[in-house]
Amino acid sequence: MNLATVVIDNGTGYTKMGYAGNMEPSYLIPTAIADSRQKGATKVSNQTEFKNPELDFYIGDEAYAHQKTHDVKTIIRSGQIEDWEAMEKFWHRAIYSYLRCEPEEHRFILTEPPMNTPENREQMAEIMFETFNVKGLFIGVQATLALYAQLCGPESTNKSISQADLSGTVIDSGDGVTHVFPVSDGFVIGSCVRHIPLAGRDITKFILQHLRDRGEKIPSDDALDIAQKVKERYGYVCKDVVKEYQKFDKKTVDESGRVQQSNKFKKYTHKSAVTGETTEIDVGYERFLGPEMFFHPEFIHQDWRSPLDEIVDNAIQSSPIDTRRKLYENIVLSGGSTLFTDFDNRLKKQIQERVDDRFKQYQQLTGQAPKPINVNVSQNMVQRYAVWFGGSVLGSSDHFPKICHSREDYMERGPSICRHNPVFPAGF
Amino acid sequence: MQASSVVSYHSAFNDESQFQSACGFALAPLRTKTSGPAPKMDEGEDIVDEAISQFRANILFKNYQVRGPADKVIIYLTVYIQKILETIAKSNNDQDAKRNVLALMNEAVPSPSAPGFFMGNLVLKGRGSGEEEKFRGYCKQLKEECAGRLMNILYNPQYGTMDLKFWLAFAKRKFLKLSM
Repeated sequence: MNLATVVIDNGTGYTKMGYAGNMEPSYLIPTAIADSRQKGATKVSNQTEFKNPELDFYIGDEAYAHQKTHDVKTIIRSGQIEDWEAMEKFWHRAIYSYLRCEPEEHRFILTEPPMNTPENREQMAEIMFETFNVKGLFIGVQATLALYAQLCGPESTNKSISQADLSGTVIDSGDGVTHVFPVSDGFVIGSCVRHIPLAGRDITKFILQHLRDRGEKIPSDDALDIAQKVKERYGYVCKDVVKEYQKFDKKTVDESGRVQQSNKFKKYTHKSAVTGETTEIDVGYERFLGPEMFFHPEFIHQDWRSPLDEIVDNAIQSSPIDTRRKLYENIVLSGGSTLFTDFDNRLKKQIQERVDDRFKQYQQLTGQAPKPINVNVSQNMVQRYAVWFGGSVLGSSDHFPKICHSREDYMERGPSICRHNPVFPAGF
Repeated sequence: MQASSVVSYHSAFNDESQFQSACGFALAPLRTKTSGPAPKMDEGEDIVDEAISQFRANILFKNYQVRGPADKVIIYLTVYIQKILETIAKSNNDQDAKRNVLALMNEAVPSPSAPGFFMGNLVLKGRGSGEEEKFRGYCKQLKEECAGRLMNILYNPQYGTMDLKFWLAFAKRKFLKLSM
């Protein structure tokens, strides 16, 4: 019997895991692990359910819940796995306690960031095949999976697809870092990848700082949590900062003749999990100032000046000239931090301006008018976990068993088989 | 490189030929009843309006490109507005705040060529004492108009201090690290 493929997408902030064929991951937990303190704390006998100190660790949200008794740390930094032992423990807990599956019976899809070393892939393969004895393993590049989701997902109308259709620019903005990946014919153009050291966490910190500057009462335990909820619930991208301020300044007079503030101001009520008390805070300009950082990084970062549209434009301009049109016309957004309302419109408008500007200059210099490029930034319904979804679609496709590396192959030829993971099998 | 999309906000009065200037500041017209070297303007958005509406955006920028002499006035006004907000934030109550802002407004404008003038290289030395007098007179008018309009927004007779705390969030930020 062919059981469903397990898809695990380990990101810097969050890990998405579930079974292929589903629309959403079954679990979305922070990529964090809480290890028992090494400092020789004497364990009293009314201990936890884990008698064995080696098994005394928690992952995900539970890790943060136990942060007073355990050392919490994040396992992945900037997309790369830093601590392999912790990663193995994380996978162990994920497979046996969360997903509750027998790894011997399932094929697995893991994800890796582009520019990941082949040695890292071999390490992943070793852990998966030797420790967990999985039936099969496929390690997908995150950007390619996101494009695959858009190409072959349920929303697409493509009847026949080929390797060449897997072209476009993926803007992946998560919690820790934002990447721009130009992808052509299924391969990420490594030399044109751009990283931006600004992402969801920075927006959250900025919003928190702004709330504090204004004197809002924020309990320090839940501070980042509150800022994050405010960001996710009320954040949006504006068209122009000064005009947006004016919208906030507009006053209306209600029936009783009293002047009311603009309805752009909101209120947020927070109930503390620890003490149970509720605090109510006002939400104002940070609604649009936070996400504005993508287009004005100066607001947050000391040295970083280039806005996102400039980076995307540079990345595409440095790609081979025959790929550029496809890269402009298929810009795919992925990751939680691209979910802000109107993010796609603003980005599209700014990139289109740059492209049109360049065309005008070209026309002036040469007198020729090439066919105009229509920049297209697409959002799709599974943007938040587009990478996971790509894995889900791939894992449930007919040709997946052909491209997945099997246990038998691994036993015979060793971990080096996992260096190469094609999305489409040869001769597709 | 072609047009950058990161633009801080600039004054519409930057055209050098249109207005006189004193010590590098354009003497842009003001919609004011105070007397001084500023040309008069009856309606429309004047440079003080510009500075106030652009303040909450410009204060977040770490760089500001001066496109003309009117932009220097914008810088002056932006630092001044921040100083007003700082003064209000430090005061104990509304009465105190209004009194302190009035005191700040009446402070004499220092001579631009004196060392320690906060705008440093941005102001030019006056070509004669007449120009310096014009400069100081103009700055005095700017301060009066700006403080008046800002206090009207923050302590509005109709809707009170609704907006006050949202403006005060910017009280601690220094514009381009300058302070009066």
